[in-house]
Amino acid sequence: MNFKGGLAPLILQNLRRGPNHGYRIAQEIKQKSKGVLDFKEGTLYPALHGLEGKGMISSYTQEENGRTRCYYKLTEKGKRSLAKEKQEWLRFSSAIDLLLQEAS
Amino acid sequence: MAILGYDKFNLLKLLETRGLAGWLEIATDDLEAPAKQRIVREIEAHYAEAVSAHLAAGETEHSAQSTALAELGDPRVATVNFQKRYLTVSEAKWMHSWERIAGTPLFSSSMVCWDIMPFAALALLYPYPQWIINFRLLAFAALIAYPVFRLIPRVLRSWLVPRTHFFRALALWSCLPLTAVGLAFALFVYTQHDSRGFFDYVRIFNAAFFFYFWGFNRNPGWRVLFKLRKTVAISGEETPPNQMIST
Repeated sequence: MNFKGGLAPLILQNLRRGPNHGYRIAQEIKQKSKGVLDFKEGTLYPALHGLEGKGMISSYTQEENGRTRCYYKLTEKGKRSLAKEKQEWLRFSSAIDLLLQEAS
Repeated sequence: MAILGYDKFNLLKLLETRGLAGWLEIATDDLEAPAKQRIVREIEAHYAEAVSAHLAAGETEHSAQSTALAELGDPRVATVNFQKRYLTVSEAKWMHSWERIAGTPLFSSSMVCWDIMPFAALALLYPYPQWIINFRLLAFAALIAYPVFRLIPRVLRSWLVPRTHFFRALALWSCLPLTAVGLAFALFVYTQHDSRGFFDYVRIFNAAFFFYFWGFNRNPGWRVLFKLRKTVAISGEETPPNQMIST
């Protein structure tokens, strides 16, 4: 499943626990969603670069096992945006829950 | 766009024969060099990580590579996403030509044709009675073109640090004259015939089309501006304008 519009908060939430690189971000999201959310790299990296452009995350490169990896970390602006997105999502999902319960 | 040239058959053949290199070639198609380098570096690291994980899970090398490549997804989707965010080669060239003009000191030998323009225009404006009106129009055009293409970019360059801010301002600035040209075209088309009824709608449609075509479609400035709003400088590329090298 490709949850296109919601990728940004998922990335921000993942980076809340510390800096991470693209591959691990994708794997952790996949594992935690029990395989439901599986992002292809053609979606993940443009989203990461876009969040960086908006100043919500920043990046740095690090040499690891002979490979140069690009790590991303959450900025203060990103933290604020994540808190706001979470609040909006909770409001939205509880409204949908109410409607679906009523329908059944 | 060149990616339209890859139908499914060609794509599968390319990925089969060239593997990751083929995937990257399509995904970064037509992107300017710094963006291309960054994407290649990241995707290569990602791919190597995925291959290692599959090998550790007991797959053969060939199978691990194929699975990791399949996991990268359709490179054409990646191309579209990356091209929305990064400048293409032609857009970067266009920006660099503006940057070069903005970076050259006033009255330098390479720009002398530009810098004598306002003086030539003022001379043309001198009201010799025998001069026809077209000369004055030419003079006005030169007086407008000089600040638009030379003076204001030069001022922006000396004001704005870092370079990304300068590029954004330059892209915004470069949009305006071309949009004005689009508007002039549209007004010209609109005022050509005094018609009523159905033909009035045709006139409005034509004018709107000309405004869109010359003001937006043929104006790379807007596209560049929207991309630069979403993009950060590639690591290590951030150079203040006063340290920029004019080529």
